[in-house]
Amino acid sequence: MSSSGAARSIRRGAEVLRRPLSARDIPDGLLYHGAPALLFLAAVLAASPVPWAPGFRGLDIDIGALLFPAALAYVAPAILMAGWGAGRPHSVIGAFRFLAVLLAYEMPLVMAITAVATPAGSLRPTEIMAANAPVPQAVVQPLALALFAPSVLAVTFLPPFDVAQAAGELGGGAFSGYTGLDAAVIWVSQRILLVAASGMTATFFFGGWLGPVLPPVVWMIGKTLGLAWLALWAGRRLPRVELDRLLPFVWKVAVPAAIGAIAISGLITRFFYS
Amino acid sequence: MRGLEPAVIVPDPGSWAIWGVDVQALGLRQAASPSAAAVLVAPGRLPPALGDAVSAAWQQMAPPRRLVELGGPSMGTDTIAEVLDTEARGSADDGDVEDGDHEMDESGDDMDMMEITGKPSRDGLVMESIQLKHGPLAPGLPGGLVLAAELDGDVVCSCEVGATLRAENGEDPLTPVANGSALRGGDGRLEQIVEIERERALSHLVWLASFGIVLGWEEICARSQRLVRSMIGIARPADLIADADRLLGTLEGSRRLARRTRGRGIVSAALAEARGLGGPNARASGLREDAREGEPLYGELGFSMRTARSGDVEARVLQRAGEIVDALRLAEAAQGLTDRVSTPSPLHPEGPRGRILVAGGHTVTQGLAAARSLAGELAAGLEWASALTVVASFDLSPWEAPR
Repeated sequence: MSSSGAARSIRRGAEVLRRPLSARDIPDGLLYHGAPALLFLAAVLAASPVPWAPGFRGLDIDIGALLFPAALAYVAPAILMAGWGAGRPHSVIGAFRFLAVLLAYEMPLVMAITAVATPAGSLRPTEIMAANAPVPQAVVQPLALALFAPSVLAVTFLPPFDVAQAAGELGGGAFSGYTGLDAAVIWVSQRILLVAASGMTATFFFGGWLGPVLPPVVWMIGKTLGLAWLALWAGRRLPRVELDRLLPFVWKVAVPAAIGAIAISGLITRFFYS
Repeated sequence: MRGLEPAVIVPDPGSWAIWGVDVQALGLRQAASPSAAAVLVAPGRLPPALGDAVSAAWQQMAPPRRLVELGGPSMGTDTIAEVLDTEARGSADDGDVEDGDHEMDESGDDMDMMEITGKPSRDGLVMESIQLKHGPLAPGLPGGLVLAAELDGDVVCSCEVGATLRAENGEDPLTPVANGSALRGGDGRLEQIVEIERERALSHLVWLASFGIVLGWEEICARSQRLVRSMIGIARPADLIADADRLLGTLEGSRRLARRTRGRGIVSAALAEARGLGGPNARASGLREDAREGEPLYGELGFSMRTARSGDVEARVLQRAGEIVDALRLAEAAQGLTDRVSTPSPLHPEGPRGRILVAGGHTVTQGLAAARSLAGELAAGLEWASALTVVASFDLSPWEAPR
């Protein structure tokens, strides 16, 4: 980013922060203004178990791999609060569309985590990461990665899963009325979610900080940023998902595939990791 | 579109592109909602149909905000200052203007609140229906187009598409060249063909960029907008043919496009003929309906009508994408012959949306009213996003001829 571009971004960020909170009449202010805070909390919690380096492992607890989806579970109520609190048709529709996306991503997400946790014999993120040596789980269990990656991207409500805000369909949807600090918090929270999603993908499937020559933190940051870039690139290249086609696909294809991934993981563990 | 300031652009960025103004060159892009916008861009005079929406959008924009008044065709009688009821305004040349004190109208909202009616839905359950008004400043749709829909959850029960702008002087502002040619009685000179085909290509590119917004497909939106920006003021269409061809290649056989659009909003040839569809909408359904067919000058330029068969959203997208390339090639061929042809022949213009007829001193695009009603009918029963895709695929004009 050039210095002029950075200066412009900073100036625009300052302008956003100067703005007052929403200018329009809000039917439920508590839900509406509480939503960004809950979203931020969910994002920070989701990012907490990401292990960045041997000396900075994040919240490296026994059930860290489950803490991640548990934290992400608060994204949906936050978006629902935003849409319902605004009370406008576009906002409410956007919020409920994200609930439909929740139905789509939640089961494949958790099942894929189960699949990578099985060879590690643990739900601790660093031990799952260690199971990526010498062969990353992305190579050993590509089906699990194929299920995990879109699921975790869907939680970040970035394109092509931006059904909650969908500029061309809902004019901003669940987030259409936010200004000032509320808007800034939502913006920051989405970026934290992207970093968390990319970081955990790197941890579960690409070996996290493991790698030769370079310091571990460089590997971890590089993998995380690379996956984040890939997610944003995919968002530009793909049209927005259609819910009426996504849900049947998930229930008829993705969930059975996720169950299959767990079974495959069991076999792989039995013959190669025990 | 990174680095561009979000703005409420009235009526829409596509209209300004057709009028020769590149809003991106002003450092602006269309905001998803007024709350996210810092700038309101508008012509000096607005049609009455947009006044309330513009006023509501201005009230939803949190300060600091500014107004940019652009020169363009006069769209109505109300000045922007009267609409916003403020003296604090500037222009693109004057730079930023501090927002003065204003009263916030607490009821100012161009969207209806949810209405709980308790009517049984299709499956017999009593559901809350939603009365939704989308537009007239909705991103992805031409400014002035309004969708009034009743939703059962997120499924459209009924949808009415309305064109709210009136072309008082008899010419559709979105097709000034073709309409002007029809009104003045085209003499079929090659220079005229060059301008008409350039306008067709620009109109379709503007539509494709907007359709990309509806689909949420940034790649198509960005590539179309790059071509639009290149077309504004460019001398030779030949410089754009290769890029337009590549864009068409991306769309043709694209599984991404097919997944999103194939089988949606099907209009059979029989239905298209019965309802009197015209232009690319009719040709996408397989009708050989084009005013250029049989025109000697177009024949000399190598015109060949492009049609599809499936009549779905995908067919309409590919039809217009193909016509972009065809139009640029025709314009280039005509430009190369302008010094040779000396005998003009009558020209009945085929506008970007259909054959242009003259009635009572004003122009009417054949089949546009039929397309509007058909779009609303096809949207019923679909999930909201799919319904919007179907409606947007018809490239409806928000301008109606005076009655």
